This record gives sequence, structure tokens and C-alpha cells, in this order.
Amino acid sequence: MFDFVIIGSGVSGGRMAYELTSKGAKCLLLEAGREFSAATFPSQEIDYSTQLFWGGGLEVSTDGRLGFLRARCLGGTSIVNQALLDRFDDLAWNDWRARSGVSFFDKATMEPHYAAIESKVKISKIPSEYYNRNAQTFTKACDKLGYEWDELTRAQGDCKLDKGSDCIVCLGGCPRDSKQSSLVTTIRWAREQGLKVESEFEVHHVVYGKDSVRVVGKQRGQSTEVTGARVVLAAGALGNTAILLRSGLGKRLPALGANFSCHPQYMTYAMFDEPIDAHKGAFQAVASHDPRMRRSGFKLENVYAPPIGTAMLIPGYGANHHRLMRKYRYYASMEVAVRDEPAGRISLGSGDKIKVDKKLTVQDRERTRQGLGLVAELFRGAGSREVVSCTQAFGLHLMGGCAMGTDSSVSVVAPDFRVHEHPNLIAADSSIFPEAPGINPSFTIMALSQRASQEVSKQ
Amino acid sequence: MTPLSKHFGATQIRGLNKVGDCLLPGRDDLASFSQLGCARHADRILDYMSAGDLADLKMLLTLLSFFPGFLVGWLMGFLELSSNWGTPIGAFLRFMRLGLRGLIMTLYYCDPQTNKIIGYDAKVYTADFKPAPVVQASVARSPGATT
Repeated sequence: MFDFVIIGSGVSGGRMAYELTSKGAKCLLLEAGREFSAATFPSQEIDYSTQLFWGGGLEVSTDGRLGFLRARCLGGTSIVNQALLDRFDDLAWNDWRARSGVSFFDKATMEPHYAAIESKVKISKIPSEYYNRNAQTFTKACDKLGYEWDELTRAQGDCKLDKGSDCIVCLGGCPRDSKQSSLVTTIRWAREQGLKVESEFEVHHVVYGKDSVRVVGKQRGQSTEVTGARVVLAAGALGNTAILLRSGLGKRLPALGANFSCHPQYMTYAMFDEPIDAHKGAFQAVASHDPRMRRSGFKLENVYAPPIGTAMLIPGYGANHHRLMRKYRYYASMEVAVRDEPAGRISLGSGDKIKVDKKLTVQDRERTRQGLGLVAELFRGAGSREVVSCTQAFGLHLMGGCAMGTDSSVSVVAPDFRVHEHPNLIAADSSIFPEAPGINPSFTIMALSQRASQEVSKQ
Repeated sequence: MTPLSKHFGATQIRGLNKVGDCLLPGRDDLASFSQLGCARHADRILDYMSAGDLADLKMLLTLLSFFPGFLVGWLMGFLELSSNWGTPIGAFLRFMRLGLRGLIMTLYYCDPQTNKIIGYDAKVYTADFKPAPVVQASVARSPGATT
């Protein structure tokens, strides 16, 4: 029997695997998707969308208004994200503490965990001489209207920007292992310490016992079970919630599935007379860092999308859609990411499939309206001749469902990272978020997981 | 002759091309969906689709293959308006729109010829890259699987 069976291999699962194996625990890491490497990541957008994500690239809320992107491969979301290392600010921690009653939700208490993670990964900021024209447009537009922005801290090594690397490619996995994903950091280190990894193992449910937990699922179509003294749930907001619901814990944990949020994101494309080539060079070097936007509940990101993503996002169809796509090289782009209220709910539909009910609240819509209005103003100020606002919202940061809190009637996971009344079930990933922070969650998931590994090792 | 898809028959390909040419009819140097032969990429998506979703899609494309072109055009226009509907019917229409639009846009904008015309040429420098040695799982320290 393993000491720990870890379900999910993203930033939380990888971190937990590394920290626990470092302490001598026998660990098994389960991942529903396949294992790829720098040499085998699918290089084309069509192929990585279908092979690295759940739902063939996109999952959708029950009302069809929100799309969700959720990675399904060894390394999880850390393979397909931008490796941003954003610390939470006082606002996020104070709001979390007030909502959950958890005392360690505090900047000073969490700082050693952030620092411990930073000490072991390669970190860089994009030097300004490597800002592409999309980043230059973003910074100039903010400067012109008096909004603050900042360079992003990224977990990455040498991307070889001087040799012409275009980091948009790494949305489908980094082909030179520069991005510090779980796959090339924590999972690799944990394997060196004896971690066993099983990929293409989709967990259906767990059978809870006082001394052990059975994990039941299918590996490559074959029914399979493994047993651990304890199980770490690191399958994200949707995955963890679904596993616990299928395990019959919904009646004992009334808050299971509640508090879902996703930072709904809206892209805006702005056409310029000269090529911007937003797909070239460094990707997402900067972001807004303005206290007025923070107070208003949104932030602006400097991103772009490859052709298929752009074609999906640009509204309409027919000849006008062709006209807009023909100008692919001429767009700058910004994204509004909204700090949404945790009003969504995850449940199970027919065939035990995951269902996400997520409607934007009045406050969410107002924040979106303000953000989109500001983006249009920024782009007009920068000299754009045509601004294309996208109506399709999508969520990349899937949070909640198993919120942490002191009161088991309104939360699922206790402050010691154990599921209420089920001490052999542990969770520290985005599923435990009590609400949306309005800040990229990856770094804090790693920090929480580092703390969780210390908590569970005490016993 | 090699079939275009191991999942779609001629009827579904006809339906796919009808929807494709409605959404992407071609303009200037960008060819229409069917002229570009986008259906040949379909299996790159269909190979990873669940059996249930694939069956639903085949049924829908079969149905659409019998629609006259103007009716397919009307349906696509109607689906574009679905964002205004708040009812369960609205949700159903939005799902249909996202599914069809996703399929068509993906098959068209994955094509190297399209990418060349719009100027998408992203790449990463890897000439100097040496992958780290693969670490095998240590079976000796992890004997407890009870499969």
C-alpha cells in the first residue's frame, strides 16, 4: 500500500508528490491524460487542443455561455499555462480569511511558502528589449492614459528569445523545457526520489476507510484500483468535486460543489495599420498593475491566441470573418479577467458527467462592462482603427467546489487540508479556494500545497 | 481511393462542407472551406471525441447534408443570435453553435496554407536543446499497488 496516492499531476499534485517523497513517503501519482515530453508535445494547435485538454479542447457551462479550458496530461495545467508566479496581495488574503475563518490566509504567514518554491525553480522577467509589439502597445496605451502596469514574474529558464523563439507555441507545451512545469520540476525531482507515476488513469471515485482509501478508476479502458493510506486530491476544482460527489460525500458535505468561480476572461482585438505580430517573440511579458482596476474587480492581461483560438473568438462568420482573420498579423490584443463572485456550482449530470452551473452575477457583469470599456479606450488611445470585442467568455482558472473553511456546513476542506470528517482525504489545489482572488492562482496553489505537505507529514 | 475520414462517410462530409462553406465561404486569397479540402483534417479531432459526441455530430451533419444551402445559411444565422436567448433552448442552440463553429474554424485554421496566408509562423528555437535524461519510476520504493 502506498503512503499517499495523489490524484492529478498539475501544480498541486506535482508539488505534493515532491514534498512528500522528500520526506520519505511512498507515493503514487495518477494522471488521467497522457505523458508527453519536450520532444513529443503536439506542435500544431489542432493537435494539442484535442490531446492536452479535457473535452477535446473546450468544456462548457450548462447554459453554454462560458467555455472552460482544463488540461489533461502529465503536468496538468502547468504544461499549457504561462508559468506566472503572482503572489496574492492583502486584499485577496483578507477576503479569504473573512469568508473562511482560516487564520493562515495571511500574506506574512504564506510568504515562506512562496519563497521556498522560488528558491528551487528558474525565474525570469522578460527584458524590455524583448517586448514584442503587442506588449509595447499595451505599455504605451497604459502610460498614455495613466494606468499602472508591471512586468510579470515567470517560472522559465532560457527561452532563446535572441534566437527568435515565439513563446505562443508553448501554449501546447514547451519544446525546450524552458517553462518550469511540474513535469520538468517537481515530478522529475519526485521520480528521482522514488515516485511512481501512472498516466492515462482516470479516477472515478474513492472508497473511504479509516485506515486506507481505495481509488477506483480506469486505466486505458481497464477497471483498476489502487490503495493508499491517504489520498491527495489534486484534480482541480472540477475533478476533485466530481470524484467526491461520485464517492457519495455530497450528503455529508453540503457545500461540496458550491463556491465555483473562474475569472471569466474576454479578449479584445485591436487592428492597427502596421503589423503587430503579437504571436512573435516573448508572450505575455506584462499585465496591468493598477490599484483602481484592482478595486474595480478586474485586471488586464497582454495575451494573444493562435489562429484557431482567434477564429473562435472573433465574432460572426462569412466574408467579414475572413476579412478580420486576414489581418491576424495586425492585431494587438488585451484580455479582461474578472474577479467573479463564487456563485457557480459543480454537480453531476447524466452518466456522472461533470456539470457546471455558472452564471455571471450583476456585479460580474458590471466589472466586465467596465473592463471592456477601458480596453476599448486604451486601444483607441493607442491609435487602433478597428476594435473587435469578443463575446465568448472563457475561464482558465477553475476554482472552488471544495472550499476551505472552519465551518463544515459551508466548506469542504478544513484548515489542516483534510476533508471535513475524512482525515485521510487531503486537498490543497484550486478546488479549496473560498472565492476568486482576482490574481493568477498557480503560485498560491504551489504555496498551499507546500504548506499542506508539512501539515499532513506531522502525523 | 483513400477516404477523407475513417469516422465520416460521404454524407457527413457533404454536411460538413455545407456548414463550412456557409461559415467560411472564401474571400480574396482565402479559399472556401470545401475548396481548401479541410475535411481531410477531420480525424485529428474525431479520433479524440467521445463516442456519444461523435454519434451526435454524425447525426447532425447527416441531417444538414440534406438541407438546401440557403437553409443551412439561415440556421447558422439563427445560431449566431442564440447568445440573446436565456432559455434551455438558448443553451441548446449555443452548444450547437459552439460545436459546429469549433469544428469548422479548427479544420480551416489548422491548414498550413491558411496559416501561410494570414502570416502565422510561430516557432521555438530548439537546435541547442538537450532533453534531461528520463527518470524511470523506482519500483523498489513503490511496491504497494493493488491493481
